[in-house]
Amino acid sequence: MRDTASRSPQRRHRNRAWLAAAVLPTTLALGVSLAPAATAQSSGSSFSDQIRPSDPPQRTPISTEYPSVDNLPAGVEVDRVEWITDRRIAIFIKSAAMPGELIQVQMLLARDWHSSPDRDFPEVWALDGLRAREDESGWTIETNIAQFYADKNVNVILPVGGESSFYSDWQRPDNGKHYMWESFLINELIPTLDNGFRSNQKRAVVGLSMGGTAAMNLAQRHPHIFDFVGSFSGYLDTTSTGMPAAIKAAQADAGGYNSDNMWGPPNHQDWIDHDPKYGIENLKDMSVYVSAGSGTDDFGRPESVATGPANPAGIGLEVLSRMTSDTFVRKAREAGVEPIVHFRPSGVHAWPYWQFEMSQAWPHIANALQLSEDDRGVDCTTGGAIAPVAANASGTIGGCVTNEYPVGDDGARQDFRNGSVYWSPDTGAHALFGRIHARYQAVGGPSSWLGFPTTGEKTTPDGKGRYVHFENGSIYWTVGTDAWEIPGDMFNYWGTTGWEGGPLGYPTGAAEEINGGFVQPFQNGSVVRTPEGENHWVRGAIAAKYGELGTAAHELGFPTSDEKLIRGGAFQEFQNGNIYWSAGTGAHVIKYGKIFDAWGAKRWEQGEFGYPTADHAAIPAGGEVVEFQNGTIREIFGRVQEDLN
Amino acid sequence: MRTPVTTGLIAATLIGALSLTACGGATVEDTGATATSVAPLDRAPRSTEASSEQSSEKEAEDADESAAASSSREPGPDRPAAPQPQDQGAREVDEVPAQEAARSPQDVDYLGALTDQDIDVAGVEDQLIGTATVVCNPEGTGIDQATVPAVAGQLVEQGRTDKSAEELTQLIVDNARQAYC
Repeated sequence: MRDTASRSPQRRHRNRAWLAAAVLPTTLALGVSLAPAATAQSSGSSFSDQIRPSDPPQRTPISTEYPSVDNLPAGVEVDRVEWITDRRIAIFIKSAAMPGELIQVQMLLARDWHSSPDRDFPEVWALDGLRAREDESGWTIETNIAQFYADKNVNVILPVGGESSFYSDWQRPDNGKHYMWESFLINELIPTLDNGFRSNQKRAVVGLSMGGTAAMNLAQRHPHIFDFVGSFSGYLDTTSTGMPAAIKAAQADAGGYNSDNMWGPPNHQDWIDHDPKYGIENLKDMSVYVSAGSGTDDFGRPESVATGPANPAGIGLEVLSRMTSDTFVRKAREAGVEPIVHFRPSGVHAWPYWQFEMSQAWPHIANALQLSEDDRGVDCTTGGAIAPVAANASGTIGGCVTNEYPVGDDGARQDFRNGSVYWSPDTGAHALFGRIHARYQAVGGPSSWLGFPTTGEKTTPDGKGRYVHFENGSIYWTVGTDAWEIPGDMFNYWGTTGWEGGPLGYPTGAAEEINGGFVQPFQNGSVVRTPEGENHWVRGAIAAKYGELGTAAHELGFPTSDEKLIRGGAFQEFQNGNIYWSAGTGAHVIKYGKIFDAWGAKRWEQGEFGYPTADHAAIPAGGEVVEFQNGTIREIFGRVQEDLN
Repeated sequence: MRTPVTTGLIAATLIGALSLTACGGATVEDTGATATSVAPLDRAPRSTEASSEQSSEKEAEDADESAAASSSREPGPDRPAAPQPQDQGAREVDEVPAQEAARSPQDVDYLGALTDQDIDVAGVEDQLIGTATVVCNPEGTGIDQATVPAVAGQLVEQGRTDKSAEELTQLIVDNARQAYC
């Protein structure tokens, strides 16, 4: 339901950052480290800000599964995989090189990932810039990379995080972390992808800015692993006069990192070992792509891809990218390596240009990965019952990226750029997309208990929700609650309260199996299926109390009635007790037994004791007690003791 | 080659916008009506919307195709116009076959002054002008402090001058200020 390419960049960060930058001292000597900037925080600094991706909308992970990946290095394991869309996953890896936080790597799945489950695919790695975020790659925030690759048969690998890291192994910890990105990517990620994520071990690596430098470093330092390397506005000379200082200033600016902790002082061997102009020999068997703009702002010109006017940092950084890339290309040609060079006659250091370069580099990437014509892009037709549905939904799901292929017992599926159409003889053809589609994928698609969709995506009467009905259930989505499947019987019982328009609202989670039954959370209550297959709902304060107790896992057990309204309040019966509620007393548990019976003999809540004011509790010295509005009933050594206030 | 791709980008944005529109404009149907017996997609009320989506999508796809077609073509000469033979002597800047041609009088003054200092500016004119831009408008970011010495270092590395990077740094700053600030 969201399209990354359609997001408006949020400028809030930049404004704040420039404001902060304006108050930084500017008494800085030429060629000297910009020490004052080192105190700046990531979110409040200056000159690499225009390459920092804007905040993406907050998303709740929608699925978790635990694949086992064999033969990984000791200490490395896949912690979990989350489905973001049906074609995009987030892999969380426990790293031995960078222990502590899990490392997230996102992956855009190859076009035929679902239709050819036995196939392996080449990979395109896309590295981020200096201001890489911890939650999502700039490539998915700032470019249309997911849409661009939707019809291409490669897995796109997007490491997440590594602000200012150059994806390098750092000499020392800095800023509370010890970056060991190169070790992670090469020694841990590659076996992870090879063993668990259908890699055919042909790889391209590209990156923008810092990621361009890093792509070149990774390719040069591990040439047997990569078939293609692409630098989009990278810094390809890191040691000539002025460049170490510029990199130092940029790292201080992007998160307050100290270059000395990365590669040591500027004359250290590590700087040389990471200077792309010195590693050209290792690129002889590889396809090498280098691009940069000129540093000229072309915003507003008819052919420009720019989305806004350039700022001084965007100009200065692109000048450095271009000059160092030019130096690199000259050295490469001297060494007999002929890079594919796209030096644009204009353009600055900004995402719209890198999105453009991504598309320009693609045919060369496809050549290097030896992709067949079919794997390079769309070659599909839409027919039969799927055709009219696809045509009707084309504004949402886009053009086809596969032909139809069999799914489920007797059905078919066809994938489109932003969704899929499912067909079976009993259900007809329906288009799915967005989060509901991702959830359907995560649950297992047509082979799962949901079966095939029986409708397309529809809007709820309140305008806030979207839903799709399936053979054996439904999936409901809103922006705040995300997409959740509801089994058919529980859906029908929810219907007795008026569905999302009733007191329960929308589902907020999947149905959880408890002691042979199921409990599904909604905004204001739950719907329950007992182990015997009966349905009930709980709502409001009684549902909150039931939830607080752990629902059916509590000794109360499953509900045996829905909520019943009574004079002054409400109550609900469960297997082993009731929950009573009134506005003045709140919701409280009373278990069946002698106290309950004694209270019942006094006409329950309508009698002299009134409503319970606390949950049924144990007395530490032995026995049980329930406090009521007008008294207390205890059971001690089997004897009931009633005390009115 | 760039124009169709630009169109492609616009088209991609258009698809995004349409998908959001389509989401908001989908048929509103009472859930009660579809609860037990599932109703077919009710297309009648949205026929106009649907047809306009289709035509937009067709345009978008056409644009996509042309973008794909152009990008799958092997690019022509990959070498940029920029790098010029390096063994030429100093020349008047207005003789340089500038790809974007139009240089302002300030540009001509600035590049001319650097050329007069025996700096070979051919092919890096835009980068030197960009450097001057940040010299005059650093906006307190320090970008000028980072850029100028590194640009000087690259001029040395590319063999465009016999001067030291320190000397060049000062020359660029002085001439940029004189021409633009």
